[in-house]
Amino acid sequence: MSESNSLTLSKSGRAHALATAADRKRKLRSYFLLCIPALLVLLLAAAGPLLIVLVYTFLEAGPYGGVVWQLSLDGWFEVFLKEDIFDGTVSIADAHLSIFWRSVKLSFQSTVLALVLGFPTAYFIATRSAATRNLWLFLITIPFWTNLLIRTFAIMQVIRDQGIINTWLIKFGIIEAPIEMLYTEFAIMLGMTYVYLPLMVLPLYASIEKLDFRLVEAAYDLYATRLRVLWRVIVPLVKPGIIAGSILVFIPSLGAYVTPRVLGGGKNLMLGNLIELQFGQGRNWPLGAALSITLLFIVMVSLLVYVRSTQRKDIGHG
Amino acid sequence: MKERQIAVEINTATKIFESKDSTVTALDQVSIEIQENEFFTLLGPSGCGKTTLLRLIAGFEHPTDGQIRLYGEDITFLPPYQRSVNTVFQNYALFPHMTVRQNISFGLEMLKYPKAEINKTVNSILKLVRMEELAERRTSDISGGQQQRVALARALAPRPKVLLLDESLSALDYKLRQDMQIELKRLQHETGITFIFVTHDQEEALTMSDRMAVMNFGQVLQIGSPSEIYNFPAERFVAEFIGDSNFLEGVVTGRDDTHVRIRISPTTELQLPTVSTVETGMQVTLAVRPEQATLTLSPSEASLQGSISNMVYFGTHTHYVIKLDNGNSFTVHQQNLSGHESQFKTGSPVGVQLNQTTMQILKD
Repeated sequence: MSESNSLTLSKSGRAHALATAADRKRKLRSYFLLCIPALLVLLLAAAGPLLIVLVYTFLEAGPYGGVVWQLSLDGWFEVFLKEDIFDGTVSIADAHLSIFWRSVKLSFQSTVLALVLGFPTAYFIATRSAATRNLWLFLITIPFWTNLLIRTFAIMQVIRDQGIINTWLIKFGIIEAPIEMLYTEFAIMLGMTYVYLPLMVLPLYASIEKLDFRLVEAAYDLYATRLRVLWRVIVPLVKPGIIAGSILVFIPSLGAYVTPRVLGGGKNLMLGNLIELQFGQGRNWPLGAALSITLLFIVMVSLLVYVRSTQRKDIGHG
Repeated sequence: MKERQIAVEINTATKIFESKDSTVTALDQVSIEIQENEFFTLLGPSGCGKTTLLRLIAGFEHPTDGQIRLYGEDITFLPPYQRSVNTVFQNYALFPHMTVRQNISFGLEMLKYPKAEINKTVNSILKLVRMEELAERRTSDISGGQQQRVALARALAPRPKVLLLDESLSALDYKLRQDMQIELKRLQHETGITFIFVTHDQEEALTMSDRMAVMNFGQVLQIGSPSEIYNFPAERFVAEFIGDSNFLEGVVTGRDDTHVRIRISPTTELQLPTVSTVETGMQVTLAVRPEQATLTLSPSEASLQGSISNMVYFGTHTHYVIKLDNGNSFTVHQQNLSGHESQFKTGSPVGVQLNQTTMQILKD
């Protein structure tokens, strides 16, 4: 009713303000309605299950998997500590900690390698003519057409003892015995880099494509060599792309399951494998749930540290 | 007087841009010598090759043929960061992630000057362009005119031998532009650096340059001081592009050691100081500046006859458009005498007196 009133009085400024306020209210309401399907999906598919996982961490493990509805902190206890079966002494769960450390280390290495490989690729694509750019971008997305497992097995064929690399190196007499690459941490790192590289290239491309290349010319003109132009002008200006790409590679790497499973050969577990183990053979759901929440926590802390450190550099510039 | 050194020598520079479906000759055998401490302007319409020439001097492009020398040293294929030449870009191209001070010190940092010296130089250059108060601001937080000054300061800070200015004033509004023109002349005077200025604005070129080159279609048509180019245009394009001109067609009817006779109508023959390039019987074009002709109320005594078709009052002078008896238009700018009402009225028959010593015979 206030809307119809304000319409008749729309000549006065006050009425006009009322009208726009009412208008804004109506718009907000319709925006909210439009958001409902997405909110429902989020609630049912993300927030809900997460809440269940969180609840499970405080329950007791069932004898054949599942949980018994009885409050227990055993799940959380076992994430960090272990109890000797024979004498009952409690010590730090170093196996778990080394898996945490390996996950963070390999994910970090993959992210750096993906950045080093992805930056020149993205730069190359962004500096092609508009017509050929789309072709290159299309080529980048081709690996997504193939199943992740098949791609991972393909890497195996490249790095195993009788694989392409070792066969050729031996053939040309560079090495005598094959270099052991498969079933090592290196293999996992390489595999994750390969799998998540497009997630680095695409946001980097989006940033570099927006870069004003006249600024690059200006830096050249002011006596900056190629390397210095890269460090002082290009990298700071495409930083949003670097941050986005790094996050998109680091987070899925941290929780990767298939790649470490296939290329690590079961010897080099990562967090994803450990969690799967607890829900599967381990039959310890509360521990698996607590490990999942721990993974979430590691992701959040890493993101916080990363974003904070890049922002601080910004302040340093200003 | 001591002969000034040649700062930049462009020797038959040619630049051809080739792509799949076209070949464009942006510069065609251009040769220019620019002297030390000179304010030199490259003037021409867009697409005439002036910006390409500037980019060759800066090192962003390399010529297809020909050489570029900086104080005698061949710099034709040196990268931009190895030549003592800085550019003020048309859009300023200031680094958005740096402050005003950081922008200005960038070149000095790249040249690895000691920190104390960088600070000293940047402070004095900030003072020179009157930007001391805004030194710590981001370049996105300052106005267009201030950005222009920062761009200038950034290019001047490393004390280049030559400063290139690419249409650097065209983005500013009229008043700011006039201030910057004065500022530029002052800076050039105070720094003693050779300025090469690119513009399509003939008025700007005339007011600021020591010497200028008029370009069109990748070629240099004429090089000279503003007054030489204004008063003695070598070609019809130059006469048309710079200032206003009236053109009269004529035939050379005879010449001797001192004079050439040109018939511009069955009844009118003009005597002009002789020019070596014309011969009897040749078709020529005469260029007459509107302010170098005078109107008279007794048409029979004048060279051209017609009637006033339009007049526009400008305060100090009046522009008259004369419809000549042969159908062509002719423009005359006449100074207004103070306190006198003009004796010429629209429609009144008039004669046009030509000043035969200031007319130009143009090759067609």
